[in-house]
Amino acid sequence: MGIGIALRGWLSRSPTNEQLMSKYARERQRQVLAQLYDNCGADLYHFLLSLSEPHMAEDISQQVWIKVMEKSHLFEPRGQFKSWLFTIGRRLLIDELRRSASHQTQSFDDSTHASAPQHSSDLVCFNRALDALPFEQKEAFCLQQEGFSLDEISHITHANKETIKSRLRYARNRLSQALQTQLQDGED
Amino acid sequence: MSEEEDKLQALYRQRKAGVETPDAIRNQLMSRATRDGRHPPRPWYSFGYQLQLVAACAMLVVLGVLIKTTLWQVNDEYAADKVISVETIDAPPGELSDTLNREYLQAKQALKDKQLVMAVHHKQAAMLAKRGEFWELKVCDRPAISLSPALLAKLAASDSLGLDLEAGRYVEVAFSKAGDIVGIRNSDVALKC
Repeated sequence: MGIGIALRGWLSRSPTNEQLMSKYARERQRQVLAQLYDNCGADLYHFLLSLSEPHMAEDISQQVWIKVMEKSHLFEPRGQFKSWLFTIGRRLLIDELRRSASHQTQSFDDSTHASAPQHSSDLVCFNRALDALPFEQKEAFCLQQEGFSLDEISHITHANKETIKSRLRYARNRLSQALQTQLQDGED
Repeated sequence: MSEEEDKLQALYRQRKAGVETPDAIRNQLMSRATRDGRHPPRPWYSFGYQLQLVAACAMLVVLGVLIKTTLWQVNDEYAADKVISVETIDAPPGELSDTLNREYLQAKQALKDKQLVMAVHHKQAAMLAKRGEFWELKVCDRPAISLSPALLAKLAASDSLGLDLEAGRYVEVAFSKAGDIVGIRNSDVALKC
């Protein structure tokens, strides 16, 4: 993983998230943190929102970034920053969900996008199907869509690779099935 | 990647694009970063930390010296004790044992003798009388017994004299097996000869 990150750094002119994080840990510059947030803030918020509700997602996001500031010296430059960020986020979210003892998720059909343009029926169906997935399957699916490998998902969720594979398979099947059903209903 | 997975990925991206991240998160983060930036944590190599490190090391050294000095003094005291102990048990173990046994037996015999001397063999009723400077005990079947001041003092010291020195007072006299007076106490029983 370390070589991959180094290669990305050499090939791209802009610094990688890992380089930015190392720099922030050393120099504590505000603009470096801002750059990190711009690179990963939306991804983290969306992930947390998919697994909880807007208020909690915002609150946890806030806490995650504060942890990043406070624990910046603990970041391993050889690891992937986004993976570290999501690991912190997931842990805080699980803690919060356990405290509130409610795994309610936000429906993407109604309140979240009240002001958004009309969605395609596929997207509405996809959102409903994703919301209806069990927590572990939804989590695995979202992490995969965020670009994490099986190893990384396994590391973030503390589950073994085979379990992750199984969760992903179930999640994809359910989503595809929901879309298929919706398509057939449309044709009828 | 299959067509199905492509479709799911595309829908996920659409969903994500429709989500707006609240500005509040960024704003609060940046204001906190600004606060922290004004008072950045000092790195370990800063002068302040180095000074603290030197002070801590110096304190440790001073503490070490104090502990060592204290232990050294205590050791000296113990060393002196050891010298005394060596001089005391200078005799060979066999001889020492004989000496101790002999002393123990002597002390035991002395105690037995003393117990024998002080043991009350018999008691006799008497009456106190004064003759000149000295006190004496009048008994029925023998001449009066004179009590020397030394005997009275000895009996008083061993708490064996329980009487008011008063002429005509009846007393009970305790004798040892050897016939020595070992105690005189007041008595209510009158002397009847």
